[in-house]
Amino acid sequence: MDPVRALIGDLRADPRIFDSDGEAAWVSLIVVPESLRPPFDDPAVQQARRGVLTGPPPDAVSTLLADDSRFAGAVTVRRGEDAKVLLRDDPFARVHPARIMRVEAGVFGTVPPPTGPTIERHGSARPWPWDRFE
Amino acid sequence: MTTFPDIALPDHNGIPRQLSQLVGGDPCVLQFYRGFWCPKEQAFFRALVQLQERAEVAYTSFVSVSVDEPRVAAAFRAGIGARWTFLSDHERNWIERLGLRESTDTKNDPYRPVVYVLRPDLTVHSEYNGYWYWGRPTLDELHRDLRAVTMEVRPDWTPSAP
Repeated sequence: MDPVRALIGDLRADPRIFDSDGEAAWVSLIVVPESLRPPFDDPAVQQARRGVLTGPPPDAVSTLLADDSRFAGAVTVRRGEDAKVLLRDDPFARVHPARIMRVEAGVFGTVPPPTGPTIERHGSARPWPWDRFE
Repeated sequence: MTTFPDIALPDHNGIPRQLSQLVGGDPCVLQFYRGFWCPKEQAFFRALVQLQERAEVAYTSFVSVSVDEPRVAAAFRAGIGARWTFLSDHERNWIERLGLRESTDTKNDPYRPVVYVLRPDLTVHSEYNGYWYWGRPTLDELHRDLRAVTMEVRPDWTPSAP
């Protein structure tokens, strides 16, 4: 099975985070059950996005979307000695509990951190931090 | 129209960044500042942090550039509560090329305070010379500039009738 599909199912993510040449990484994965998904504009989800902009930059990060209005989860990718420790403070884990896991090479890449201060999606179909409308 | 150079510098985390990548598809406030130590910069940053509350929902990027080392820029950024990217030209690779050296300060050798409002393609919409504090843009002026640029670059500024 496609490892990306296995990890996040049918949820949409910022496509830049996937890289078949990416190194193994530690990942904080949050998948909110369908019945518990808060609005993407919920203040708790907004504050989590601010937290990402404020904290140490991950190797890659994306919110997850299943529809056009609700927060379905997030993926945060880190590498290095302190990766697991930093992932324990994943801002999105304050919205819903995270699973921290090791992911083998060939799934996630490295993406420059979001610029800020924008925390909005560029259209309802595009998971933050994708930074343009097209 | 003047196009701003696509400068490449490390950010406050030491990660190499390119201006065009930071701007993405949005209008941008590009600010050059002397350094964390300057009271005028501290005052202006407090105003920008106020504007941040609106910019975060308005599809607008901010980028601040100085000669401070990345760790210094990171500490200053955290201290003022900024959530945008700071670039560090601590090796002074761009200051001469941009013509923005503040020649009157031979001790710190910093950037001259200048604020640009850029379109997503890096063309300059407006420029403010902040050598004297009152030359800097007010939040109202930045709001007007960002409105003008957004009107230019968003084809659906006036949504069509259903």
